[in-house]
Amino acid sequence: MEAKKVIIATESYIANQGFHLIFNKLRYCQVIDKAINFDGLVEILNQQETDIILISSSLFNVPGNLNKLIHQLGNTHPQLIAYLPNPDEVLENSNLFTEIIRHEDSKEKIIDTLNKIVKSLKGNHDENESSEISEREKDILKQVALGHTNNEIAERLFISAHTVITHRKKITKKLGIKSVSGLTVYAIINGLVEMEDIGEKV
Amino acid sequence: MPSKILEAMIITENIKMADVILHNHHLLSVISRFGIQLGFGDKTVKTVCEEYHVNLDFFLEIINAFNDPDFYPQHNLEKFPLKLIIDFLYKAHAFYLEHKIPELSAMIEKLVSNSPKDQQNTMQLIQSFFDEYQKQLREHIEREENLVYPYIMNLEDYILGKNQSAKNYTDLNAYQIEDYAEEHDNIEERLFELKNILIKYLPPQPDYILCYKILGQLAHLEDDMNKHSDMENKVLVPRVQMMEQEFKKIER
Repeated sequence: MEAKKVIIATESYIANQGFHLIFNKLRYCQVIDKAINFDGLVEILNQQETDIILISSSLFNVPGNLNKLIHQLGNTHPQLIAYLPNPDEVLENSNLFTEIIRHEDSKEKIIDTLNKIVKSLKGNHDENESSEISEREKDILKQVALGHTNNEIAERLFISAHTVITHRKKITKKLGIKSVSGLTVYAIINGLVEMEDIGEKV
Repeated sequence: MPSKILEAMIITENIKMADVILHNHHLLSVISRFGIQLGFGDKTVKTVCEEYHVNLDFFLEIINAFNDPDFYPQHNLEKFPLKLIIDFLYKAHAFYLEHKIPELSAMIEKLVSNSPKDQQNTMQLIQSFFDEYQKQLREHIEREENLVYPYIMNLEDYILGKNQSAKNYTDLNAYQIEDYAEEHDNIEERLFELKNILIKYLPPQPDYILCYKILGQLAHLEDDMNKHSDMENKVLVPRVQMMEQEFKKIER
C-alpha cells in the first residue's frame, strides 16, 4: 500500500520534531511536510494534497483560521487530528476532527490513536482495490508494452480513451512504474508480451 | 530515510573535518565538490575551508543541507550570491555525469553480461531503460547549463547593476522557470522506477552481490539528486522569480 501523507502543524519545534519521530514509527505513513504557523500550513496545502493533518489548537483556535482551513481543503477530506498542548483544554468544533491527541497522553495512547487513523484509511483502500494487477489492467499493460498510444488502445479494446487513462493510473499506482519503457520491462518479465512482439521499439 | 532524522548531527565550524566524514561518509561526495580532499588530520572544518579557499558559511549551509533530511534550505541560503550556489550546482552535475552515471552504467552492463542466457532479453530491456534515463538526465543538465544558469547569472548581474542589458531575458521567456521544476520530477521518477524494478520484479541474478551494489549506488544517487533539486526548486526558483519581477519594474 502506498504510504499515507501526513502534514504536521504546530507552533512548537519540539512538538513538530516529536510528532515526526512518532509518525516514522508507524507503517504506511510518511510526513511530507511540517509547518510552524498557520500561513505555512496553507502554503503547503496550496502545493500538495494530503491524507492526514495534525494541527495544534494554538493554530486553529485563532478566530477565522478553522474556516480558512476548511475553505482551503475544498473537496479534499483529509483526516484532521487535533493536538491540544495545554492540560485540560476543551476542544470546540470537535466534530471536525477524527481524533484528539493531548500533550499528556501516554506513548501507547498516542500510537494507538494514530494507528487507528492510518488503519481506517488503509481499510478503504483495501476494499476498493487489491495491489494485484487485474485481468483488464493486464490487457491494457500489454497494449502499452506493444507501443500503442492511449487512443489506439481505446480503439482496439472498444473502450473510451478516458477509461484507458484511468486504468493506466491504477497500474502506475500498483506497480510504482509510470514510464512506457518501465512498463515494458514489467510486461516482458511477467510474460505478458514476448520480446519479438515489441521488436524495434526498444 | 525517515529514521535518519534521529542521527543528523549539526555540523559547525569547530568540529573536526574527519569527524564529519566519520559521521556520514556520504558527505565525501559533497566535500569533493568543494575541491576538498582526504588527509585532513585533526584540522577543524574552519581550518580545512580556509586552506582550500572555500567560503565557510556557505560550506556549512550546504554540508548541513546534505546531512540533515529535515533541512529547510530556503531561509538560510538566501544570503549567498546566486553565483556561489550555481557554481556548486555545476560541480554536482559534473559529479553525476563524470562519476556516478559511468560507474552505474559499467555495473549494469556487467550485470547484464553475467545474467543467465534465458534472461538476456529482460536484461537488455533494463539496460536500455537505464540508457534512456541517462540520456534524459544529460539533456536536462545540458539545458540547465546552456540556458537556465547563464540566464540567471545574467539577470543577477543586471539587477546588481553590473550589466546594462539583460539580453538573454527574452531567450528564456520561452522556457518558463516553472517547467524546470516539472522536469526534475520526471527525472526523479525514472530513478525511482529503476530501483523499483530491480527490487520487485527482476528475477534473481547469479551475481546478486552486484545487484545489491547497484541498488546502493542508485539510492545514494537518488538522495543526492533530491537534495540537488531541492536546492534548485526551493532556493533558485523563488529567487529567480523575485528577480524577474524586479526586472520588470526596472524596465518599466
